[in-house]
Amino acid sequence: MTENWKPVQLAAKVLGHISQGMYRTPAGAVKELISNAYDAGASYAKIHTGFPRFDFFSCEDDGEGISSKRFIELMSGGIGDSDKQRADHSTGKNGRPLIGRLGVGLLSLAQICPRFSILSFHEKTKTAFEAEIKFPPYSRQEIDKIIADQKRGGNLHPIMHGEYKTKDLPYLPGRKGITVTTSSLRESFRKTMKNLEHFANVKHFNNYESYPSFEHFLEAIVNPSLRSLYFASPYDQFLFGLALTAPLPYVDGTEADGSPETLLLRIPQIAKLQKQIKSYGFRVEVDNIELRRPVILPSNGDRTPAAACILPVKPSLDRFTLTDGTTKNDIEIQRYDIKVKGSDVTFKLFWFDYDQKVNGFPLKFKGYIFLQTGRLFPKEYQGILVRLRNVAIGQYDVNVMTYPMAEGPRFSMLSAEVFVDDGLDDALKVDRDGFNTLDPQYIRLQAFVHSILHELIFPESWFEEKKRNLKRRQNKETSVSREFDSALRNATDETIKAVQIIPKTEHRTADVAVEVDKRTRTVKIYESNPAAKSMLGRRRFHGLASRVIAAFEAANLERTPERRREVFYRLIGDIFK
Amino acid sequence: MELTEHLDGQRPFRYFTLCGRPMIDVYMLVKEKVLRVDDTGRRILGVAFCELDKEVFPEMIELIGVEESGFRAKLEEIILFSDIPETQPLDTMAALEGYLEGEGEGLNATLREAIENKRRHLLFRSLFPFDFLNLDFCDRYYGIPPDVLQVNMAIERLLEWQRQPGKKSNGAPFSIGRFVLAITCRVENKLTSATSTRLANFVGENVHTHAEYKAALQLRGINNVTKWSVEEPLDFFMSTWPKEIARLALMKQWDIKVHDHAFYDRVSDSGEAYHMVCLVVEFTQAPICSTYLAAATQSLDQSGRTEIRKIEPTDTDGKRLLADLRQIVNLRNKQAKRAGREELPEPLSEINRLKGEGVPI
Repeated sequence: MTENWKPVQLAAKVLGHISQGMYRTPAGAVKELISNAYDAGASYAKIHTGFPRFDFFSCEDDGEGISSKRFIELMSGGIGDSDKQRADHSTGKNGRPLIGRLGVGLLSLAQICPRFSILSFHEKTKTAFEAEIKFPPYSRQEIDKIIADQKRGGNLHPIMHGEYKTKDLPYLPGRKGITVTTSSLRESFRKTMKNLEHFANVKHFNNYESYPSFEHFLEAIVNPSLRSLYFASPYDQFLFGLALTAPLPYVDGTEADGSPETLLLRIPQIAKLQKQIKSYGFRVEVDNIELRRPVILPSNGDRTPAAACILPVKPSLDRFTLTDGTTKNDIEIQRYDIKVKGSDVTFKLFWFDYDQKVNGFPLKFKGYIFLQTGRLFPKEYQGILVRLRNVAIGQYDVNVMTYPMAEGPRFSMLSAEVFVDDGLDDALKVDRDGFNTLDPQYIRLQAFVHSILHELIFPESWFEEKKRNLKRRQNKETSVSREFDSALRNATDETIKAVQIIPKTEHRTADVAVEVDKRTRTVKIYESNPAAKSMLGRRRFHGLASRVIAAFEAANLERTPERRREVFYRLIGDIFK
Repeated sequence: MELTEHLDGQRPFRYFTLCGRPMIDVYMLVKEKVLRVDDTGRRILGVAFCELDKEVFPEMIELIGVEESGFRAKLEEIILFSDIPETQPLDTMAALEGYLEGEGEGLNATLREAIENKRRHLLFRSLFPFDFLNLDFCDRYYGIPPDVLQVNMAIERLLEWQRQPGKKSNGAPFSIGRFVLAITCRVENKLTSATSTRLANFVGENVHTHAEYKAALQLRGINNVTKWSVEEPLDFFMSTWPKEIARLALMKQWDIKVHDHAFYDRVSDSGEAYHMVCLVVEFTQAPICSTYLAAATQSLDQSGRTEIRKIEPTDTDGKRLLADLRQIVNLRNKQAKRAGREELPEPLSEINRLKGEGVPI
């Protein structure tokens, strides 16, 4: 039998459908332009969205630009064939690790506009050009319409293409970089962005204008009343998304200058990382505000300031076993037990490093897991974020890489970042928004995170939470008892001053369940007496039951039925107020 | 400044300009503290501008520091949008957006463009009103046929929009009862026939209907209007054109007061001499305009005009102006530096450079 291989052809729709579904959010699409600028050695990327009308979009950088020759090559079948990243992990300006992989940055614009113009000053060749690009049909309606037209004409093309035209311009010495502009924004993009009903600047500052500074934006979104960016506007989500994903330094305000401060920068390893990122000399401005990595920790309901946190002089060491199938590694990590000035609130931060060969290639990452005692605000800080060469892949994953066990509210108290220095490239999806979960390196990272959580962090966290809850209950009980004793004194004109449960350890065999000790003016309930035991019920109800008994006994001391009724009802009211 | 006094700190002074990249007028008002800069030191509050150049536009936004300050459009075109049959029933943003949403991406290009233009028109309209409109057209007031009246019609609409309520930064409404309009345009030594005819007709109409105007004209010794327009085009234009603005004010129920009527000479790159004329008018809301005739007649008075003579940087006035300009440029350059944008050169060295290159300034 002869082999008769035939090529598999894709329907024209496929290209459109692939690009349509490539980016999940506007920020996801725009981040590609930022990555391009970063890879091109730019010192800035400036984005204008045309807030609040969103009728204009521009992204400008001062990178090396692109020559018209290379641009034409890209337009002639080169998209997705970038030479930016090869196996040798070459670096860019100031030692920046390159981000791009497939050269699909320009394609990302299809998500927000059907056409755009590009102006490039290429420093190396001292050339300049401008071009207009029309994307191939993108939406289902567009594609279906063209296919229907082609079918009518009896001429169905297998692959559809966009259109472009270029014009060479005189090179201006000193000028370099790329500017992308468009006024043809897609209705879907504009509609999403224009929905400013829940704009956090209005919610928090009663101001309809654009944010005056990034600090102002952070203050509007990092507050417990907002809970989640879901309750803010898509524009807020867009700013947050870009700030989170771009390869930028953390916010580094201080208490002294009144701007948001993050505890993370007081961790030596993260401070070192910050220094390294700053050394790349790259900034991103969106609508006139300079973005920073928007991670403010701690971020609890009490808004504990980072300045109030007390870090140990040296981290302690801890260990866990990383289990990935038959692979078992004993891993040592560093832990920071963090106290807060004038409070019993505590935080924990675990720092880890990993460097092994997986599937024949190196996998090298580091990171931290931060744990606080209440939920994190906004919700978008909860979970884990993986960064590949400083660029966030997706957003925080509250399911922590599909952690298999139920851990209740603990995920909402956890915020982690993993910084991947080497590996995971092949696991990355084309939209750079997630990973192929069957990739062996991804599986190893997942196993690492799950193991540390399961073996070390969550068991300790459970224990501590129980302890904390018990203490909280005890404190509450003490406070309620104190208040009731005061009510008893008032209701009985000081005849009875307190109620007391005498534990078994103090009085082993009591003959009576309850007695009124006239000397100490106390209602005593003997726990060892079977009747008292029955009355008190379960331990958690002891306080409540003892107060009802005391109310009865106090009322019973009164001389008239009316007075007895009055005292009893009054005390019952105090108990259940 | 008198115009900012009535604001009483309730909202920033609202300024609309066609300033172009240098933005000297904006920074002059910042220097004079008419325009406020916010606590960040980066945002100039209350400014709006129109600019078509897609490259310059983002830079200008950054120099103001407020994203919503810019509108990428040609002023006359965006103001004078006119409906096509399909857009006529869609008279609100909600209706336009609802239509686009319903039709989706498959909508034909012509209709999409018309809807888009209408939307931009409505959005632009929502920017109004302003306390000061500075419209430096750098070109003729009366254009080349068929667009002779484009600028005039645009001004007419602006006078309507100035009556609509605006919104403060906290969403509260406000209105403007008084504002200033400055129009700067180019006047050639030979007026177009459309310009001469239109303005001559105004004179004829005024002579017939207003004895006071006729007397003022006779006092100037003008008997032949056509001859006047040919022999003294600048005087003719400056005498008659303000009547156009006065007429618009009358129609739109504004009282007007001409504050300044200035001109200066210029030479184009091709060596052609022409004039720039600037009219600064204060408008006050009035149920019936009572200032039309006064304004029209006043414009005949040559002594009421200011000729801005050529000033050398070494003159007393030149030194003072240069010192002011330096302060303005410094303010602008400080902002440009912060935004990572190209700075303007030092004024005197730029003047000398241009002179050295033989550029007429």
